[in-house]
Amino acid sequence: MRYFFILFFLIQSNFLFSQINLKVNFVAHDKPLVLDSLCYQNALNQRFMIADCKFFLSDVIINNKILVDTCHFFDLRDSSSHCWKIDIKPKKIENLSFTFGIDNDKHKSIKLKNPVHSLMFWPVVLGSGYHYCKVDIRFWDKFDFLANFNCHLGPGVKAMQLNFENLQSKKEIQIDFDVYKFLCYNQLYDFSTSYGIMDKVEIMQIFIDNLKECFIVK
Amino acid sequence: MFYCKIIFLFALIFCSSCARKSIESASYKPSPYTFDLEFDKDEYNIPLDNPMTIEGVELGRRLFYDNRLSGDSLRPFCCASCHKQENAFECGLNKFEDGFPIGNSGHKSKHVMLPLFNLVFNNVGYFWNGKIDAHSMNIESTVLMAIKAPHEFDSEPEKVINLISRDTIYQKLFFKAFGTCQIDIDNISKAIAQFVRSIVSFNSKFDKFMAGELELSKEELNGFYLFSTEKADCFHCHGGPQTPLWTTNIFSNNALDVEFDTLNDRYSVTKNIMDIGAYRVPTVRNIAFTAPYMHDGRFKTLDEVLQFYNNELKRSPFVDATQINVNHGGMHLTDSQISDLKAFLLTLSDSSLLTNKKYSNPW
Repeated sequence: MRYFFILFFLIQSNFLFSQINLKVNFVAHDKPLVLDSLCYQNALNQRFMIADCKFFLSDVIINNKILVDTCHFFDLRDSSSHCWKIDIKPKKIENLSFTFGIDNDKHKSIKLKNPVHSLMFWPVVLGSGYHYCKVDIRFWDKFDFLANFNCHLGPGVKAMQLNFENLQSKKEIQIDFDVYKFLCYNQLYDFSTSYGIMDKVEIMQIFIDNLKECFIVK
Repeated sequence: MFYCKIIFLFALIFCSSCARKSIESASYKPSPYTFDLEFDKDEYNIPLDNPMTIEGVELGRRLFYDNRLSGDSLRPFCCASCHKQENAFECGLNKFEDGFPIGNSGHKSKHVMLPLFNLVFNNVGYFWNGKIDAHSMNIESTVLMAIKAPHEFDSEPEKVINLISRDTIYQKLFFKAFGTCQIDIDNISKAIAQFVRSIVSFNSKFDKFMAGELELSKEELNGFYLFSTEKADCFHCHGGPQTPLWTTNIFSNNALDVEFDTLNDRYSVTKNIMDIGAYRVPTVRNIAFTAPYMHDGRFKTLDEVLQFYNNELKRSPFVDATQINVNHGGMHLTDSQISDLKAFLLTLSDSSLLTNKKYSNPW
């Protein structure tokens, strides 16, 4: 019985927890994201569906000092990837920052032959490394066809670090990633301008700038 | 006379038993099979219950090329009947005119073949639609499937075991590989799977270029650039130097058709509507040796494939969302660019695979 109380005390005091969970919810317009449905529209009246969304988060800093020097791959279509279990034990999380994407020099890996890594490499001729994200959509083009647009960001632009203050979390941080805002926020992009943007730095920067409004930590 | 027969029978059983005991009394010390490649151990798809050994791979090689695997000496057939080394271990267009293998029963396969090399790095699954899961089923299970299938061996495991077991050499080889003279379908499958996993190909002109051993021509380099950018947009599915298999091992609808055979595509496995018309992305490594192309072998030459991707992509609701060139029907490269792209693809040919004695017929 004595041991039971000790165990209970340890659990209550967070002593046994050496992990925090960083959980990402994929949303659009502040609602749960609907995949493969033509239910979204941008300010240019382009109706579109979201077909895929994959991205890396890396280099988590908690309470200005704890550095998690690893990265995690989030895949909209794989719910098991939506929670990043981080092996640290802060008593309370007051502030948080992380990088959207990964620093290629820091996260060199040869695990590239199978998904996920094989899906996320960034071509050598464009600078090598990894995609920061892949967001693939289908939209009604001017010819009334469903056209594909690939919003793929990577080493052509600087990965963005995002900071969040005044948090009061303990074991789990819930983050909403609004894919609609990422595609359509302040800096509006006509999807038919260019269907792929991997070698177009100025267009990639539009979406990097949108990122500031896309993550909400709950 | 009757007693003589009885005595002879007992003597025969005794001798046979002695032979087996003498083999089994020998020590069982298999040597681990290693690859001379700089890949992480966890990249290899080697099941825990079938670790690769030199003896296992050698046994598998003999079985791979042994026509007695049909279980019927009058109807010889083996893995190598279709998996030809000179075609990167698929059948090519020489043996069967349209590239569709015909089995021992005369039945034709529903799909053309995929090449058999670098499968040890495939952690996703096998066959065009991935119905062989790389973890729960794996290569081992395909051996039994091949033995039974009418469009392959058209046999029964018992017949195969019966025929193979008559050869005392095999008893020794099975002991060396698995520590038992008992020949069963499980160990036959394991040995062949070990041999298949041993077949690797990383010795192309492009590999040598990446190792700094030689230069590529201006045309080949331009082809590599086109391949690796969204201009030709090959890399999203077929990978690049960082993915040395030259496939991402995904399943994709590549805008080949507007109507689909949902009985054999990826949808038939996953029942996910977005997988309609999707098939495995095959490697472009050794593509010069692996005609015909596409799951149904509709293209007989590499030029036809490039022509398709250049001008003939077809829109449908199921086309992979990463296919951006489908928006305007293809890559629309110039003749010169197509020629460069082809020149680059040919740098991925590893002709040493076709003659490597480690993988050739031991009989």
